[in-house]
Amino acid sequence: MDIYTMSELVLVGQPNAGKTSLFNQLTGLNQKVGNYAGVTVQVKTGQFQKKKVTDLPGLYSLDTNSPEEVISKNYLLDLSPSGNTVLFVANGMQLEESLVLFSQVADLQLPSIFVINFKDEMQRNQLQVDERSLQQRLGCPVVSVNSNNGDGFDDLRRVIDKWSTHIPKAINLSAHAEVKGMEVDNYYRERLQANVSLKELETDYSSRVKAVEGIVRESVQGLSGTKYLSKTKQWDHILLHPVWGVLIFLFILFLVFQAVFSLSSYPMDWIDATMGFLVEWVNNTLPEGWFRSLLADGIIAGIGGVIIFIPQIAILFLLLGILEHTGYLARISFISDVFLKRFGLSGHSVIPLMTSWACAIPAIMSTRIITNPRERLALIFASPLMTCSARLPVYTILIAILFPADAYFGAQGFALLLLYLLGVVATLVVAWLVSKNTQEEEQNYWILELPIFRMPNWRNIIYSMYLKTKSFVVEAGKVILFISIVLWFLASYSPHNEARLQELHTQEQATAPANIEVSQESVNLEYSYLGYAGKAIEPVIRPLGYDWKIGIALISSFAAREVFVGTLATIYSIESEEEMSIVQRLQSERVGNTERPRYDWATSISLLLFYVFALQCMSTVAIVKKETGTWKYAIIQFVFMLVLAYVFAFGAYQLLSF
Amino acid sequence: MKTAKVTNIKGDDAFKVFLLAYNIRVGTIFHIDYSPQLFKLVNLSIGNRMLSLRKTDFEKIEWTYIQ
Repeated sequence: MDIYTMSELVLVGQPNAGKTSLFNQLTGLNQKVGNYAGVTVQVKTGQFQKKKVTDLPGLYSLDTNSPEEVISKNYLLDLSPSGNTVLFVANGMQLEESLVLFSQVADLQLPSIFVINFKDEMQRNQLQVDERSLQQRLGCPVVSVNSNNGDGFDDLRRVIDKWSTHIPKAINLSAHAEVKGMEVDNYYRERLQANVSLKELETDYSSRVKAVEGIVRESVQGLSGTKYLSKTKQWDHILLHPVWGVLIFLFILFLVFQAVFSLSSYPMDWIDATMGFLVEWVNNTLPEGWFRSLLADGIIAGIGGVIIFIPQIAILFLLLGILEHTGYLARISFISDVFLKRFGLSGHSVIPLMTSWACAIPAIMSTRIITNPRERLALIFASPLMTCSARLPVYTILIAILFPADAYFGAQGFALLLLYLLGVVATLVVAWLVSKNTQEEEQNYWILELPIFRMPNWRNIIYSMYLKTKSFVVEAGKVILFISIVLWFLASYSPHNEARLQELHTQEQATAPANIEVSQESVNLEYSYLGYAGKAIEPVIRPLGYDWKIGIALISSFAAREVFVGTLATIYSIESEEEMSIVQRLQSERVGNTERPRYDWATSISLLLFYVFALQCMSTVAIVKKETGTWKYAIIQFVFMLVLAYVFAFGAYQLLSF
Repeated sequence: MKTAKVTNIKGDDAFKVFLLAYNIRVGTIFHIDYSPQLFKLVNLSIGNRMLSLRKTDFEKIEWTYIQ
């Protein structure tokens, strides 16, 4: 059966109620799960027992107007009661607040199941819910679960199977209904779509709170006077401290970047060795010819250039996931708000900004949590300047050339941290510029929910890390595979025949200094189709310190940054018959027929700066167009970042090679 | 820990509607939590939920200590 024609289970609840964890438990389709208000900004779907399951963005009330909350409200207003069920997820430790929202959802008169989450925390805080009494008061099934470990899920599955058609009692419907004989017209839906006065909203809210207080009095014991928040508040005295809090934040940031390098070095070495073994095996097993060359020099070299970075990217996703799931990310929002405000952003921008460290695409999509249009535009415009995971392979290679692993302890991690900081500075400056030049449309208010500190749910974090890394490898892999094959073809074939190439080799050897041996392979590459293409753009990139080979890698990486490394791997492996790592190949590369390293300080720094600023990601351009609704911003952004990259790379090369 | 009660909210209707979604209205009882001045944010807990408001917004809320 097509997923879109199935009956539907729709997960609704306040932010941080554990909806997404519940979604994962039900569907097995893991996605972004965060201990932070407003993580789910898209409508996600999965499947459970032949039912479509939809995870809506969290919302505090049906009366608010933030873009993500409007998504959820409209989804519910359009939902047919026939065959569909609302799975309302309540944070068990915030039952009153959840029940006020549920009273609004209940008035939409959709079949519902009331799920009380965080059963374990309720037990620890001696909070007891009389499920039978609550069920009677709400008029729909009530189930307690712990979405983190699946406790209570057998009950939930049974209830979904047998009791998913119960329409709850309307809690405050009488305020919006008109009785016509035996029929009642429900005006609540209309009311939600209309502009109503503050007085009306307050009256409605007060009667809901009163009704909920009555329900809680009858069905819940121990809710008041819990020490639920006390430990978190004690931690906040340290983590939000103006000195210790900031120092801890900076230290954690440094640890993250150091870990990305140090923890990943062993698996990266294993992958490197395996790829080397594979190339050797192909060369020793297959007969000589174009197919062997394509496999060894094109496909394995290109794909291998990206696979090797899986450990670093996975570790980055893992660590960001831990910060998010423990609740610490919200504290980073708190600490950074006063600082970000100066650049036209707010503490809420931390989620999109830190997501940008993984990928600009989800980051730009997550700007939907920003209610201020000016801040949102500034963030969309600036966040691709944050260092995404696709830049990581490029940075890693160039840093390894600049600072060999055994040269200075921690130098590689420190250099990476500096590059990330440069990305942050560029992001903030651009955000400030955009914010300064955009008119404020309306009054903006800001509030941040600080979740309690929790032990992370390792299953969710690791599965989420796996899916994100897989997505990176698969998405990048498709582009890289295609480009590797095209590059291999262009680099392996030439407009000249073999005799002419040998003649050119002899000529080059004759003009080279006596101590330099020119290989036939490098001459073949230089006079290949790819060589000619690279040379055509060389005049433009020469002032940046790049030759035609780097030019080819730059052009191919306009589709996606990570292609740069794969391209260089392909080019240099075609050029050389020796088995070397990509770093060794780059280190051994010389300028023309001289002893001067091609990747010296000036060129490496220039390249690093180019990649810090350039928007080399077609997917980002597409998502900016989608989120802003116009090509205008996408094109301005692309051109602006390209010019910025060129200017910085030019400046750095000219200065360092002076 | 200081317990307080909202007695009045200044500001426009949009601000009051905004606060209402977080259960901040006249009569709401809240605790003022640790809020270092440097960050210009005020931390409150209402029931079992902790919220941070900008100091400029918090100043529009009139309140009185009840404990």
